[in-house]
Amino acid sequence: MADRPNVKDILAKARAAQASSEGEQPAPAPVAEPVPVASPVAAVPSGRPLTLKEKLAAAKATAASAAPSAPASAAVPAAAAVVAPAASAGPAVKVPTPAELGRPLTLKEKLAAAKATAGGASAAPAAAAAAVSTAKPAAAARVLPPLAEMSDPKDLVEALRQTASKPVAGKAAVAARPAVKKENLNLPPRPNKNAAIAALQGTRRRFMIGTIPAVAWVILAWTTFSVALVAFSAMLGRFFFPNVLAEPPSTIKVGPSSQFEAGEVNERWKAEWGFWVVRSVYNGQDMLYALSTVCTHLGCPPNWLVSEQKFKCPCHGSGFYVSGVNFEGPAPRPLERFKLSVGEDGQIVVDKAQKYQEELGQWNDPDSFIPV
Amino acid sequence: MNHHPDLTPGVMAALSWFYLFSSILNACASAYISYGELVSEGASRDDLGPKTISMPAWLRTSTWVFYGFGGLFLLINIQIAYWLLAAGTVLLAIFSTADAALFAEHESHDTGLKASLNRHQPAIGIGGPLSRPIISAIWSFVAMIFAAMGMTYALGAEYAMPQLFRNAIDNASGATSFFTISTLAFIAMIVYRKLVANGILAWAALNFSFLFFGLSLTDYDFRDIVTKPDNVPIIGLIYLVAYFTWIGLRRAVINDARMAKGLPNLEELGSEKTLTWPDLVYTELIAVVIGTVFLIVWSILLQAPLEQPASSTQAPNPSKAPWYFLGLQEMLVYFDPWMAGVVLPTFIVIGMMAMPYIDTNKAGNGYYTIRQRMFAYSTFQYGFLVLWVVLILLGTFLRGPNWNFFGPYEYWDLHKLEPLNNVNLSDIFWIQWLRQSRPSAILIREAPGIFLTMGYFAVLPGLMYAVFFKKYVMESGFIRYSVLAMLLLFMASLPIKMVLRWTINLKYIVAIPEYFFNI
Repeated sequence: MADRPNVKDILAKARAAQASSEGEQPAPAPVAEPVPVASPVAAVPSGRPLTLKEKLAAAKATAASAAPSAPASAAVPAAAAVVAPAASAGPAVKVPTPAELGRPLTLKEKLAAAKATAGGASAAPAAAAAAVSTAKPAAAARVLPPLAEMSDPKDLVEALRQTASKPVAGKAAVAARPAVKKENLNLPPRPNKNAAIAALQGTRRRFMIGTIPAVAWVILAWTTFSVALVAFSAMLGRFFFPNVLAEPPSTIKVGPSSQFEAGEVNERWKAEWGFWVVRSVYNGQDMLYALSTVCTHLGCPPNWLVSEQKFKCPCHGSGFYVSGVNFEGPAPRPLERFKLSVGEDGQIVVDKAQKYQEELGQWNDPDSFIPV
Repeated sequence: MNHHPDLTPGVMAALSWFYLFSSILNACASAYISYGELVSEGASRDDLGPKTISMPAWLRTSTWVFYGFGGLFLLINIQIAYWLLAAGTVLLAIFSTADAALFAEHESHDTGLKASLNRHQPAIGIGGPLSRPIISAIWSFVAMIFAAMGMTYALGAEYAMPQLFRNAIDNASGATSFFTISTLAFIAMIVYRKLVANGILAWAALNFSFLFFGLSLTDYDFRDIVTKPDNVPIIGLIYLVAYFTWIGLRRAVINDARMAKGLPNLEELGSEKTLTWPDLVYTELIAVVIGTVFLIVWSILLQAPLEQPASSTQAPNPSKAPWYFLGLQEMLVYFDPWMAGVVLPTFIVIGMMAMPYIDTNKAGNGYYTIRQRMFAYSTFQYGFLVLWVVLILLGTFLRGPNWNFFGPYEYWDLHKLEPLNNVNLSDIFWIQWLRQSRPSAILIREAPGIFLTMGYFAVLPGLMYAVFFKKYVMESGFIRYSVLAMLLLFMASLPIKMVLRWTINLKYIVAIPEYFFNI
């Protein structure tokens, strides 16, 4: 929030100047009238009702102007009434209306306008004097309905709010003065952010002072929350590194090959280990192999039906021959084999870590079976 | 193959009450036809003469006395309660018909009467005037039959559904025939919707379902399936879906007939507004109370169907999805899980979302109609009723151990042998037709299936356009049509695949298990 006017402000200023020099379209209120009556309606395109945004801006402007206008007019009766205080000090002394611009106001412009009026409100008493000379071009400021004529509840609320913060305005005026001085050159009024900021800070400061405990609580709450969040994340991270990792070993001994009879499907390891040890003839060779008990369709465990000599899945009816090859139901590929090897003690070791899939030609791998 | 007795004393007692209940329903229907002030949908009673026959006080009193004491005796002696209720029902059935007949005779003498509420004229589009005495007599007769059947059981006589029937139904209800019959019934429902909308025929159908259900309950295996706590709601679902389908269809038929005559439709006649307080709130309150009581009673009477603890190596046999997913599970039998579990459900959801954008037919906005929305109605109802609800029924009642298909009266034999040997299209093409081994290159091997699938999605839209959708494309544009055609083809792929599986044991059209791509 430096003193340097930014592009937007300059633009707004220029527009204001143009508008005021061009003519009376923004309709400064008659000098004699003690209360600015020129309502926003005057400055607004006649063809449509005010938008909410415009009403809001208008409300702010009015509130700002209405409140301090009394003292101002006491000092400089001629000018004060017209030059709503907003006019003398506000950065966008002249708030470009959509009608003048030929386009709707941008958000920035609206913001600037709002700030200007707010600043103007507080700077009013001081500015009043200067206004005599400088305010003419600025007279175009949005002068808005007086209290008595307010129909929009938002206007009323804003006015009340401004009235409440009026006492502080005097202080802010000091800050506003330099800005006002500059305008002695017959230039369009410059945006004076300082005044606005000062005004705002005035209110803000009081707000802060009055509510230090509340702020402290907020800080405390956020700090606690952050600490808790960090602690929880740490706990979560710790959770991924358990002290004991109960990962079952992937290998198990199933006994010597002589233990398995021809054509046998041994179900001993189904429940705990998830494989059958099968001794059967496959491709003309008598062999032992370990078949996974996970159906290749959707992962249900099939049952071995001895009488039909097939594995049959209870979920969708896939069927597999004793070899593990699928032949009915939706299963798209045969059951998977696990790796078999003969240990040093002559026992067969099944290693679940290694799978062999028929459709990939892996059943020819000598590790996928043990010839008998 | 019966391992259990078909009839036990408990079953017979339950059946006697079941038939009594059916009998009471029919006696009430008879009394309603005879004494009720029947005003059809869309008709006004204002220009009709008054109803001159009403329920005689003595009948009303005695019926209530019988029912009242019957209800009282439910707590004391259930046998006496049964006979009291049965007597009240028979009394009601006999005298309502007798009154209707008597009155018809009286009325036939004075001819100069203007149209009166006594002569019931069904709603426009539903058919000609009905004769109260005859209809009342029919329902009374049915009530007497049901009452007699119930009393027979109550007296201890055993009779069950003839085994011949059961075998015939079992044999007829393969997956193929079940699905085909459902589809045909659906088509018939739409074509003969005027008949279906007729209240009398609908009531007759309800009675047949009662009879069928009651007779079927004499079979142990049927009872075993139907009375599973899991499956009881599905019985309710049958009646609920049937009822709501019927009521919509009936109003649509009436509306169509009215609009054809240039009359305003039913929804335009009735006021759309009702008072929130008290009308709506009271209705809601009553509905909430009844619903709560119903759920509490249900949860007390039927135990929660919990099964054994879950295990990764043991699955219940058969392993059934929750009832609302049984349609999806049935789809999974015919497709790769990737298709039936991901792609098709996604298309269902997307299709539902796309409906408002595809449907450019503005008719039917705020009123029931079938004629003006034939395509939308039949497509949606086919997808919902046949491809979803019927598949739920199939999965619930007809899928047994090992996901084999069982008739409703068939014993769930764990070892039922269903010789199936599913083959891929590539097998059929290369081995059976060309008598050579399949090429090893995947794309060449699966070329027939790939071409077929691409043709299905490339050629059929054009064909459909030429035959059915020219007007639609003119009205709604090509993009909408493309989306519609794709959705339709995906929807049709389910029944097509099912039929192919049943007829030629086709497993996959394109089968590339090497890359988990199977269609």
